[in-house]
This record gives sequence, structure tokens and C-alpha cells, in this order.
Amino acid sequence: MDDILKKTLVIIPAYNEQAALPGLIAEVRTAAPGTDILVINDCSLDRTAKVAHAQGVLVLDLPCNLGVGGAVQSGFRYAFSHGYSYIIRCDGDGQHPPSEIPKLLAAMRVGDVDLVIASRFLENDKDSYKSTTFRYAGIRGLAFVLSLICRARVTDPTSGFQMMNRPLISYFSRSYPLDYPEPESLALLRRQGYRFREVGARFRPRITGVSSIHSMGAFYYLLKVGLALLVDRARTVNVRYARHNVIKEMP
Amino acid sequence: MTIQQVFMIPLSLGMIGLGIRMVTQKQKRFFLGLAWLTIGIGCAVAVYNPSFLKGQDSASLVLRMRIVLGFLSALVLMITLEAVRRFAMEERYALLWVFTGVILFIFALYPDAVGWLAALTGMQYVSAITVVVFAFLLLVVFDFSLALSELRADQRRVCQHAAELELRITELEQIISRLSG
Repeated sequence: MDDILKKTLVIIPAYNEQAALPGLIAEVRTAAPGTDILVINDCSLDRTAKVAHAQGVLVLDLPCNLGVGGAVQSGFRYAFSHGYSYIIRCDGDGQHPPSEIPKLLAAMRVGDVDLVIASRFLENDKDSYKSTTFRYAGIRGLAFVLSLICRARVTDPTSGFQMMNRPLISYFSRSYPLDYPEPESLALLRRQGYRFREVGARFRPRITGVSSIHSMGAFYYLLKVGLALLVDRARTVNVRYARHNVIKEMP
Repeated sequence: MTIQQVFMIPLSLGMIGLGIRMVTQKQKRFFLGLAWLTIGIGCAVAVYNPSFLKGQDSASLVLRMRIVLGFLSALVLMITLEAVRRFAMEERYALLWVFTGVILFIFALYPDAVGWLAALTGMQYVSAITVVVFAFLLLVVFDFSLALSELRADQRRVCQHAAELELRITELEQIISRLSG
């Protein structure tokens, strides 16, 4: 277990999360001891960067707001250039409980996959996630479409609580969607020949901040992701970063 | 002499003078000067003989439209070329504007050129020209969207790189202070 954790970077994208960060970092340290932690401050308006520095973790301080996709990708780039073998992404708002990280680790250790996603909907525990009907219907619809596209079951297409290995990090550090990246990145990675698996996990209500997908944004979200999924189908596979080629080049 | 003429004549003369000065000046602003000249002369003619623009029958509607269109396209051309000359606009974006200006200018000189469009859709000259203008504006705006996306991608790269460099500097500083302290 320790050898995986030593090669793992936990990335925490954070936007205005000064209140949630110290607790979250402490939790990560108990749940995944020995990992390096990288907080990506997406140009917050509050003292997120300062709070993170005080916790003694690595901090990437983005000089302008890039959105979730751009922020997370800067974490991928850091992990790739510094030789990490695994990344665990855990959002700064406290929705992703670090206590569930061992589940991700276990699934990754089984092997055979490049990406492990924590899903809110896999366990038959309806109370674990509270949401508006509209948002729930949107997520279900998206999950259905994405399952068809990926030819694999997807239950939680918007989950950002993930663990991935180095070949996938290498691909994502080159190309990753800008905003609302999770569903589109799934379709992308499948097309490049990578594999993923979902594991059931309990999420928490966010501690601070608001969802990046607010009520009006939900429509935009569906349209944007729908368009992206459609157009991605028409793109050619980037052979250079297809799974079998990337793995060939890994030492 | 009407009130309009009292105001407009010095104004148009001023614009013509400004245009001449810009064209002949040592630090030339050639195309912008030409643009001012065009506007000035246009205003002067309009003020001197307003009936020239009024027209009596429907045929003169097309004539007036052609005059306005001619001036407009000349303006577009001059301002674009001036912007390129001052490095305020990249050639890539200027090309579309120049193309638009040239096409409109041709349509102003030869109204029959839109004949095919009119025949195709049954539109009159004015509406046909409007459609042409609109189509080009759409093209330009589309090009802007492309440019904007490219800029956003570049900005993301630069931003991520800057953050990485900053983190490296902090790490180096820590190493240095450990070595010296």
C-alpha cells in the first residue's frame, strides 16, 4: 500500500475554500498518509493560497481564473513533470470525503483500469446524495447517453472524485476540457483506448462555496456537454496519446 | 443659407483640411487621412446640394443606396488598411474586412453584380445588398469566435506555466534557505 501512496499526488482544486481547506488537508493526511498534496488555487478572491501555504502543502497559485478544467489540468501537468505515478483528485469544497480514498486505492490496485471514479449512485443508498429533482434527472440522462458513448456503465458522470494512473495523466496533461470537464473527459479517454471503473462512495454536502452548476447554468451545462460529446465523436483519435502508444513509451 | 449649412460647411471643410494634413504630413497617417477626406467631401456635397441626395423617383433610391454603400465600403477599406499599417490589426483579421470592403465597393459601382442574388431570391437591390453585408458581418464575427477560443487556450497554457514556475521558485527558495541556514 505504501509504495502506491508514495508515488501518488493528491490534487485539491480550490476556489474560495479558505474555511474548508485546513480540515480537508488533515483528513487527506490521515486517509492517505505519505502522499504529496497539491492545492491548486484557481485565483480565489479570499485567502485560500495563504491558508494552503500555512498547511505546509504544495500550492499552485494560478494568476487568473481558469475554471475547474484548467485548474485540474495544471495539477496533471505538475504530476506528470514531477514523475508521479498516480493522481487522486479531491475537490476543495469538502464534497469528496477523503475517508473514501482507500476505496479508490483498492480499485486501482486491482489493476486493469486507468481511471477509478467514485460514484454517488452506485450504492443502493438513496439518502447518500441530496439533490433537486431537475439536477438528478439531468445527471441520469447524461449518465445514460455517456454509457452509450463509452460502451460501459456510467452512473455518476459529473463526479470529480477520481484516481488515475500515469498514462492517463500524460494524456490529460495535453488535452483536457476547459469547463465542466468530467463527462467529456470520460468520452475522450474511452476514445483514446483508456479504461475506467466506478466504485460506490458516499459524498458529503459541500462545506463551503456553491456548486459551479447553478440553476440557470444547468441548461448551459447540458447543452455544452452535449455539444462537446457530439463533436468529440467526429474528431480523430490522437494516436500519439492513445493508450497503447503512451504505455509503450513509459519506462 | 440654412442653419444646417452654417454648421455643416465649416465642419466638412475642417474634415477635408484634417484629411489633407494627415495625408501630406511627415508622420503619415495615409489611410485615415483619406477616410477623413472622404467623409468631409461627402458632407460638403450633401450640404451644398441636399437635393442631390433627396431624389425624385424610385430609381434614385438605388442611386442613393449606391452612393452610401460606396462611401461606406471605402471607409471600411481605409480604416482597415490604416489599422494594419499601425499594427493595430493582424493581417489575418484584416483580410476578411478588406474582402468585405472590396466586394461592397464593387456592388456599389456595378449594381448589376448583385443581379444573380436578386434573380435567385427575387430581392431588390437594397435588400440584396443588406443580405451581402449581413453575411460578411457574420463571417467576421465567426472569425472572432475562432480567435477568442485560440486566445483562451493560449492564456490557459501561459497561466498554468506561470503557476508552475512560481511553485518551483518557492521550492528553490526553501532549498537555498536550508543550505545557508
